[in-house]
Amino acid sequence: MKRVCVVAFARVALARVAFAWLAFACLALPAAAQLGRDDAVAALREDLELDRPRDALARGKTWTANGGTFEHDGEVVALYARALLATGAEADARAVVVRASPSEATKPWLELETARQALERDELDVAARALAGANGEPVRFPDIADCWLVRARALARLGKTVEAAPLFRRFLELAPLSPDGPSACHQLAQAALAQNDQENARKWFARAEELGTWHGFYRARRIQIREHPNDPLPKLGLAQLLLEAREYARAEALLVTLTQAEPTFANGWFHLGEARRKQRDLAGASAAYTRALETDPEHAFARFNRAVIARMEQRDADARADFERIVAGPAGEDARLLNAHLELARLLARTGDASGAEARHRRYVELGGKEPLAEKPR
Amino acid sequence: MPHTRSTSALVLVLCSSGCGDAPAASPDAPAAAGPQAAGPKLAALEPRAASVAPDLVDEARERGLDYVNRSGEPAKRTILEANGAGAAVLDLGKDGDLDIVFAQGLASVADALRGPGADVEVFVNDGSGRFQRARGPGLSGWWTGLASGDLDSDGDEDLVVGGFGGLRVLLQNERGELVPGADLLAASPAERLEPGKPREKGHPPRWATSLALFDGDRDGKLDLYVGNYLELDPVAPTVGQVGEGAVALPCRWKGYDVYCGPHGLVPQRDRIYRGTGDGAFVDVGDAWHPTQIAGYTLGVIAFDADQDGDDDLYVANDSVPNNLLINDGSGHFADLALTAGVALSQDGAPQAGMGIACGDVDRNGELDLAVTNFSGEPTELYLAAERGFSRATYRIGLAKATKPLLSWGTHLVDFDGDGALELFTANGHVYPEADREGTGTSYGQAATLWHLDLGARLRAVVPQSERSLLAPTLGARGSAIGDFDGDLAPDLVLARIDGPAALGLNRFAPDAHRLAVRCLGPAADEPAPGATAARTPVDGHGARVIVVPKTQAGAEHALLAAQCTAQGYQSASAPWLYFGLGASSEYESIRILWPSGRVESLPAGRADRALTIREGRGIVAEVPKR
Repeated sequence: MKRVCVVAFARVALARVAFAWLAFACLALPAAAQLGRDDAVAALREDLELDRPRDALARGKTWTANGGTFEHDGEVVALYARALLATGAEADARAVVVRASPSEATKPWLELETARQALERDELDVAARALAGANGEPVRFPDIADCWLVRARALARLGKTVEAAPLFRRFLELAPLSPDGPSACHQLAQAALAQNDQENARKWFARAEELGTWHGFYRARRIQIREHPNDPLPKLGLAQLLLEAREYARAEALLVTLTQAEPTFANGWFHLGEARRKQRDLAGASAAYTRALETDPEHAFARFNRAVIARMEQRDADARADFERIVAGPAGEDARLLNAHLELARLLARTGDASGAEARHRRYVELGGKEPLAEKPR
Repeated sequence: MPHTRSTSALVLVLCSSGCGDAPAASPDAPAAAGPQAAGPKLAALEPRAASVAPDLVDEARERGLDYVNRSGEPAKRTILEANGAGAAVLDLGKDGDLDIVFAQGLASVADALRGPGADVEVFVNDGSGRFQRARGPGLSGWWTGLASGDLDSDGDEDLVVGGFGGLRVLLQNERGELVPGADLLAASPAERLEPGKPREKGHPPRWATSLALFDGDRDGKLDLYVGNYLELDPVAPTVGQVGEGAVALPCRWKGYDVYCGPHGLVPQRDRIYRGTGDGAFVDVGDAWHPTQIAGYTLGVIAFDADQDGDDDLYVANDSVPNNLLINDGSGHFADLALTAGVALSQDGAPQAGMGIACGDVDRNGELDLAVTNFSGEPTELYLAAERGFSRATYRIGLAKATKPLLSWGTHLVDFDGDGALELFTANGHVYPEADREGTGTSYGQAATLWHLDLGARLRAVVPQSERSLLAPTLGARGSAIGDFDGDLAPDLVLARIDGPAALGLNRFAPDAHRLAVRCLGPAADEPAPGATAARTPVDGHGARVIVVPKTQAGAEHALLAAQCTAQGYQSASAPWLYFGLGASSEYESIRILWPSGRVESLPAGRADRALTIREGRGIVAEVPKR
């Protein structure tokens, strides 16, 4: 049985929009033949994000070679070129992009990579021009988040901070959980400062810091998973981060895999319950909490959440049994579970046990609770 | 006159000349205080033709500079072994030439425990630029950073030396010897490391890196900023990974196992000491900078960032945001780096700040900053702007040029004497693994020098021979500037890591006209000549000098330099200011903005001289170029 508290995570409120870069679940990479395109892209991105450019090189070289699985995929080729650049092979990186024969649909990625390489060479005007849209449109490839980012960066480095701001903003809309998100927020703060808008500058600086903290943990968890692929703790930590980022479906998928591999990992089941509860799958959540309690009957948070669901589903006897067990044990003194006393008091009141309800509510107040016994109209 | 400048606003507003509440000029001084008011309108810099065979020729060996750095073992298993040592350039013996003192480390971390410890190493100039090793002060430790200035107000230069478990004042006696003075860790023995004395696990020493002398409270007595790095236990250093179990993180870079840190190791708080003017210091960090957050400090420089006449501080931290500590005039600091645009990278990420230099790159009368960083990060060039600083790094191609480098000591100096500053960086990676496949960088790296032509891409100075200081691909750390051979051209001493020092003699443009200026405040027993309570330090620290060369109509410009020795990395440059006048054999005027608030103007004169100027007395010594 493992009772786990991995690390205290920064509480960050992150946007809801799912992001493709979070797709790679840090699990064993299937053989190239079975590998989907999105998985390949995610794997390369992760190699680069985790400072493993040689891993990206090894994958990318095979995939983009003549006859390789992703020879004609502009995005995969672009990421391979970026890996070359990260290992110092600048000329090779340029050559790969120039020589590539991408499919029509993926050509924009290579044009974007060409502009990114210009940016790396401090050819700021070249980069900015290459990605400028026709007819006054801000960018050439508006569906690609990175296109907004790269052009915005070129403009910002040219000193055109205010002009770059809307592009950074659009990038954040398209890719709120990109590792470049904190950078975009920082640039928006700089743009606000340039306009003497101190309130927005503060806001964006704070957002950059929050997001940066989240990404720091996110990166660390993925490294830990690579280092300890069979240990559940880093995967649980990653799932917790995804929950904080409101990436509930992705968290659930990770936790399902985790609990299948570690069926006695109570915290895994508890967080699976959380992922389902956040998606309004109350039955699934309750089942997961029950599995947590089968492994660890003292898991008070799983018991509390299961009881709340039971109460919502008007299974009062089930709810009462769980609440009573919480308040009778050491968890009954835990301030984080204070509401177990209130919930039980109200349950007792509803079933006509007025004195029991009042006694329980008194205990709730003694422990610092402020809510009245009477329920607010729902 | 008390300073009332508000530092509460989010936005740091840097005033141009004469605004805000800069100290009043003394009665005999012209009214305007700002550099731009000093002379003719500044001319924009024009791109220049390439210089002829310019170089810094390394003559260390033939000139007797046989310092060889020790910085742990070649494998570099701990971060202590990677940071190297600095150098200080100062006049020992008051004979008018510049001598050199090097910090020194040990051959291994184990040696730091079993002893004997290292002393600093002293080299005395015979006046012609030839050096002889002199007796050191007899210290025992692992020394890293040095700061120089007149600490006891007796008219000569002293030193503070910091290191891994040591922080000592070294006072110069009448024979020009450095004698141990105050031990600034005396009150906290657990933070001291005494090689050869038993030491238990779990007590990391205090690790000082770069030091800066400044006058925070404007009392004419030098104060001390000590940059501290991190907690490394020499008995049981963290190796391989940080953290434990499944949540441990490996110490790895680009897929290779490397030493641990700074992330995962505990940063140490920097310290601020108020100088009492007699070689002693009092810790005032909590009062002067109460909101300090411990960073992994590697570099610090004192300069007047907001042009209000007092010393501000810029602190370069490793992997956490840098600090711009703005002084309210009484020594109390507020960090405005974020809103001034000098805390983070262009993309908002913390960088591994190492060395710092300041100089007026764009000749607009305000001091700009260069900050060196890790490989993959650019050396940054920040130009003083209407609000804070504006980043020029990318616009001039400096990012592309410096990203493969891991840079340390840096200087903004006019080596070729044409009136425009060059940028020097000492380079070398921290990880021996940098030489392995696919890192995009290398362990040994040549030092680099660039011409900065704003408005165009920078141009690298190409070494002219194997003897060039810029040629060998060796690792370097500390660097300092001074004219060692009396030709008024700034030379450069370079403290390489695990190797011999280099002495780069300036062989740029021998026909260029130059001026060297040394500023001195009034002697300690003299009354301050100005009308304000503020006083210039005896050694003139903080004085800003504006030289206007005599030029043809249309080419008028003014050159600004500030007397702050703590430039480079863990090093102290000479207190002399070196101006390049190009084809001008005369200067139109010299204006000195003294830290006391007094502004002093001197009439036209001939170039190719070393001028010593004392506050209120004008030029007190004038030595022609040799």
